Amino acid sequence: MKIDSPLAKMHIVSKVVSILLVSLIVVKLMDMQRPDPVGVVVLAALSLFSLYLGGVIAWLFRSYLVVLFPMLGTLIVTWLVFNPDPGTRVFFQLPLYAGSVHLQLSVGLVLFVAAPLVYFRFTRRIFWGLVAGTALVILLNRLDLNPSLRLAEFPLFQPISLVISDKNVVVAVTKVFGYATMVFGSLTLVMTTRDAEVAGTLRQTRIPYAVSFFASVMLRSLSMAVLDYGTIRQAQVARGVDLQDKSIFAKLLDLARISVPLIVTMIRRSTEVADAVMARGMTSLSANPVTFRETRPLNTVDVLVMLLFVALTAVVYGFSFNLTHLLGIVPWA
Amino acid sequence: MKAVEIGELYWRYPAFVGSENPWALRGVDLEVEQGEVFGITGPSGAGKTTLCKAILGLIPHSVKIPFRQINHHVQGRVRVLGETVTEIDTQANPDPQSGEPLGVVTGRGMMPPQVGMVFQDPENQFLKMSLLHEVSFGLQLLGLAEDEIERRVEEALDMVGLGNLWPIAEYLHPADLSGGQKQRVAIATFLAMRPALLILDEPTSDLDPQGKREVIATTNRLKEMHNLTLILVEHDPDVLASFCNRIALVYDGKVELVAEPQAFYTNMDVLTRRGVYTFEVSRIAYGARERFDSPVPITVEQAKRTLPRDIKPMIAPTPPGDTEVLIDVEDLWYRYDDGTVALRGADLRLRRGEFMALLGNNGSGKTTMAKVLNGLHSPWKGVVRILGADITAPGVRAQLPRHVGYVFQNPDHQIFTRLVYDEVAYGLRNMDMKGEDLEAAVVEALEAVDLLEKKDEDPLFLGKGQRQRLAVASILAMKPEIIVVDEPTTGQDFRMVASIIRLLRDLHEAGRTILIITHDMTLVADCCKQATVMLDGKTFFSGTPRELFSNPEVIQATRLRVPQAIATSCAIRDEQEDFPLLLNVEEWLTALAEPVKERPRRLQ
Repeated sequence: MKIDSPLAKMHIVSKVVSILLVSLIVVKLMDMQRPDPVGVVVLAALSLFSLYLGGVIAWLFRSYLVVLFPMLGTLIVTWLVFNPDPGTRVFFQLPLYAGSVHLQLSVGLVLFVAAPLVYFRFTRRIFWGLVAGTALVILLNRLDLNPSLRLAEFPLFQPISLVISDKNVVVAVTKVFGYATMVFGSLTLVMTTRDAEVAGTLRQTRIPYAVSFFASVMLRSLSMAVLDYGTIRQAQVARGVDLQDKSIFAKLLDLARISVPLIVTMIRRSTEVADAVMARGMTSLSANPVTFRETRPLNTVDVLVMLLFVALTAVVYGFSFNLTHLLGIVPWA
Repeated sequence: MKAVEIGELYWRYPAFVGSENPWALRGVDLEVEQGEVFGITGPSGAGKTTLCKAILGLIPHSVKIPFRQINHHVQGRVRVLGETVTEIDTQANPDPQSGEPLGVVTGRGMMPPQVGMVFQDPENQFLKMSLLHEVSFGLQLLGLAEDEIERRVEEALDMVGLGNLWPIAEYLHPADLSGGQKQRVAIATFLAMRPALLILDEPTSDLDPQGKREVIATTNRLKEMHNLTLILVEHDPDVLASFCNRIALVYDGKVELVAEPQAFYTNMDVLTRRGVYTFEVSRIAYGARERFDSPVPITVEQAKRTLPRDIKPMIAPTPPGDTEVLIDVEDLWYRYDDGTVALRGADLRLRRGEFMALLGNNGSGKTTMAKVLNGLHSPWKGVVRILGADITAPGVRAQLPRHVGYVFQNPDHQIFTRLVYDEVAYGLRNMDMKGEDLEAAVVEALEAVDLLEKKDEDPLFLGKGQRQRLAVASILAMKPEIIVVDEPTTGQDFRMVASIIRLLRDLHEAGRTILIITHDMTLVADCCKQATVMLDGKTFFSGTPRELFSNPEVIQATRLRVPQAIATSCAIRDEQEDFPLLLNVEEWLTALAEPVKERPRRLQ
């Protein structure tokens, strides 16, 4: 973050309040019966602009986008699959699940289970066994060579179809942009707020100093733990932890092993931290040092920004404001 | 008035489980004058830090001593700046049942801000999330007015040479500072509080030699300005002798020797017996004491005047023949995610069987280079071939740990299991080694570092030296062609360094190719056959240590410290051209051990 960026100069309280209110507005605009796609797109653009105002480092922003776009893509697909609302016009329809479960034995099922087991027996790996089993089942079904014995059938959940209609596309787009607005807003808060401000705000809210000091030391310890984790992870890689493909369980075990050096390092650090606290003169928990550039008052801009979002929330909720309708756009008839 | 007066001080750390701890301090008597720079040295575990904490008042006032066991854990008195910090009244507080006196701790305890203490690792002392608040914290506790705090913080940063950071101090996170800057900030936090006594417990252990001298010199300058009393705990004799008025040797909880630097470091019998770092020229003179009876020198200038010069010119050792190139780096560039360019066209060539030192000041790119070689970092630009394979080719980098072993500086960062045996086996299991092959490799590696007897113990309970050796064994077991060792001697005492040097030499003699990253020039002179010096991300010099240390232009540009042994040879050669260029203490002693007539011609 750039230290002189406009958002970095705003009070943390006004940023938190603004983001909460924007989220509240987004929830209203995502209403399934009366979605406001234009409104959420405008809010998403504004939240992106706020990230820009925050002076976020370009590579960090890009790395967030790498995660964010696949996540939003998944969200739109999930919405379409689980909300087969036909609206007024269906563009595409594909049945995915009939609404009942069949318990049956089949040649394909036996092969599907046997293939990965045999593969695991000889290679201690499973992935290509599963691929082979799936391929066999598809092949048998295609060739109509998959005789089966049905044991039972019972209904479960409801039939699922992939329906792409005018209504669920509009709602899905509204949802995706709405959640994107919330994510960008939260990122803006995180990226334009220093941990020192969090500790300062705790003092401003008249929480006992011991609590805010504890929070401050904890945040500081977390940043040290992150650095230690990086070094320890490198030491693990140097010991060949990534030399072979491993199962997810083996990888989790490797991750768990990092806790040994990480905890030892943190314990050794903590004793020195305690000595350092006392050496600086904080010999009792009742100490209450004077404040020094840790807290800052809410300025006019902070108050104006909060008032703006309160007003916007009131308009959206009180008058059912909908920008899409206001512009005369009718998503579906 | 004395700055510090300690009388008959005994201290034992409480043990809440298991058997009782031995005395950590055993009847310490010590006096430090006001305005003095007082050095404390001694091997690791001797009680140096404990003694400093007792002066500060942390011990015993901030330690929970078991009920009714005061006399059993602490005795004696500590007075600082005329105030009683600790006094044990051993006859007070009689036991209600037996009548036996249980003892009472009296005294005012810690005395901030008059007394401050900078601990070894600055990272562990930072409590705040900005440079400004880190330095201001002590002042806030003192309840000073805002403008006074601001003035003192700015002044303290100026004092330690970080005045340029003042405008952004509020926004600088401790993690954004370099190692040297962190050490300076740690000192500034106490200077801002204007103490009368400042204790520095190995405050420069992570710095390169130049940075170390700069920090101590800054503190010493402040001492001159403010009549500060300084207590400096340090291993490096050069630093202690340059800045201290007197030095104390602490060994096994006792102060065994207190003297001015010249007298202290010429007392070689005691210092050698206690395994304390001494000057190279003193070791040469002490080792050859049968041949000359001049006073033991501690400086190159003294050594030049006193050491015998009747050493015949010798023939230089023949360089080893060209062997297979294991590492070939050309024009390597590396950029971190935050945009910092750490390597700017570095080159390196390492052949099989070589023992090379990778040198350079903090931030020169040594560790980044080594991590590229191990596959931990991916090159940005340039060519890196390990065993002939380009590491940017698909799949090559992931397999590099098989060929290049990396021993990290801190052994605590690389212990992943709770058994010594499992720890060594961990890397092998990652290589899919099993059964008898695995067991044989583990046993062989543990034998090489002399830890086979500890194979069933928990590595977390080994001593630091043993943990360091275990880290080496864990990499050795994987049988990499090249072993990279990162700063193995930093913060270690003389005996530990000697043990590490022996281990590295043994490994090299067993045919290992070793690349060592270090600031310890004595280690380079003692062990390494080649040296590569990095400067600002580029390779500045490549050659033998003898060529490096006798090249004034390279030394001046890279600000490396020339070991005293070769510096003395060079100084004598300025006056006597045929004097051999003796690289280390061992070469000097070998040369001096042989009568002139019979000495073979070996070194030039």
